[in-house]
Amino acid sequence: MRTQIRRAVGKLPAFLWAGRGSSHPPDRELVRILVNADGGDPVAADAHLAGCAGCAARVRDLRSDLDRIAATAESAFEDAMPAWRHVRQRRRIMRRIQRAAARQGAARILRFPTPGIPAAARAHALRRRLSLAAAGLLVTVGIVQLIDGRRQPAATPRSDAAVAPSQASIGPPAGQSQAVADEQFMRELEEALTSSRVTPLVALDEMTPRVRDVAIDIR
Amino acid sequence: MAATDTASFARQERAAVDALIADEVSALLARGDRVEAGERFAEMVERHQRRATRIAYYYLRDPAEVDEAVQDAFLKAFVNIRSFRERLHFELWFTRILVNGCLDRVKARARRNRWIVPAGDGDGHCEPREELERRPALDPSPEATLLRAERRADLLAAVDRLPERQRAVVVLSQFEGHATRDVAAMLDLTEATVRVHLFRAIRSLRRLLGAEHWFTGKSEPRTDGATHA
Repeated sequence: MRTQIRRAVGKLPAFLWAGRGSSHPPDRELVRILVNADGGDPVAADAHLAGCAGCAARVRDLRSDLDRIAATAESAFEDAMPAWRHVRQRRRIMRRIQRAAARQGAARILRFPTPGIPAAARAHALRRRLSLAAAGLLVTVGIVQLIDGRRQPAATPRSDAAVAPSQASIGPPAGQSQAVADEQFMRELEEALTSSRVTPLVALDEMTPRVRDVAIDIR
Repeated sequence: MAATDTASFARQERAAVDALIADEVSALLARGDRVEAGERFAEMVERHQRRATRIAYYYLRDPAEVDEAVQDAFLKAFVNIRSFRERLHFELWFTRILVNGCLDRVKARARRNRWIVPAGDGDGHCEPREELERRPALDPSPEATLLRAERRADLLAAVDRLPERQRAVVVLSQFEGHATRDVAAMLDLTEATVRVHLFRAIRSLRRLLGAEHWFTGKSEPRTDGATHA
């Protein structure tokens, strides 16, 4: 609402001027006349200005003010962009244009790998790659399952060991079990000594003194 | 009126020479003489470089960015010279390329400034005092130089504050002296729209710059009524 009122008030001077032929145009109307003159002489373009020396002077002042603004902008440009900058800029422009021209004229470089494979062949290759990937995944899963299956029995004794104390408490006395374990160990040792020898290690084996021989010597 | 006719004739003559060079460059490119086409295009660069740099400067104000924008515009014009039609003068066609490039850069800069806090001003602008120290004094009086620098800074700041279209119209019409019809062709607007933008831009400039510094005061520009007896 306020904006509408403000707009209406803003338009009032122009409206009043338009209604009274004897009055002088407001500044905003002069700007409009100047813009509509489009570089030509605004005084010649408007009937009121042609007959009113005061308004003609006002519009010429406005024109000269705008020219002054343009001249100031021009001088700001002159200071910011001195001659040496233009020379350097032209050199760069020409270098880029020559480069672009040479690039356009150069032989076409084909991309690798072959972008010209037919769509059907590309789809086939993709399918093959996907099926290989799926097979690889299946094999990996199978191997992992197998390894886990092998690990399972090794884990069982550990679980047996976990329950061992309770079984031990209801088993034979401690001294008796120790004797059984020693007996087992000696048996395994005996088996190892009498087992078939590994050929490459025979020489080394011959050089190694036997526990039994050492014991006999001591006696 | 005679001066207007002379200016119009000179513009027509310029346009004819531009069209001739553009045709030659196109023909050379079509024949595959690309290097020669580039050399021929050098004349076009010579004819339009200064004006292009001035327009880019009013938009960007950072000399390095102005350089890049002008280079890009010429390169784009050269690469697309075969799409240039004589329906539009080369100058107008090229200015449209340049202005669009400058606007893209202004937008990119605004986006950057939203995210990056500039060190100092960061916009290529400097305080009048700094500008004075940077530049060798042309006036005998340092005060006069400082005042001039302040006035320029005021003016350019006021132009920067104009909306995009109004700024384009002021730069092309008031600073570069193009006719409304040409500005309309460059900005792809109707002539009536250009006039409306120009009218609003001048009004805004008068308000932003203030009567005491920029306008003579003879016309009492701050009052919107009949001002003399």
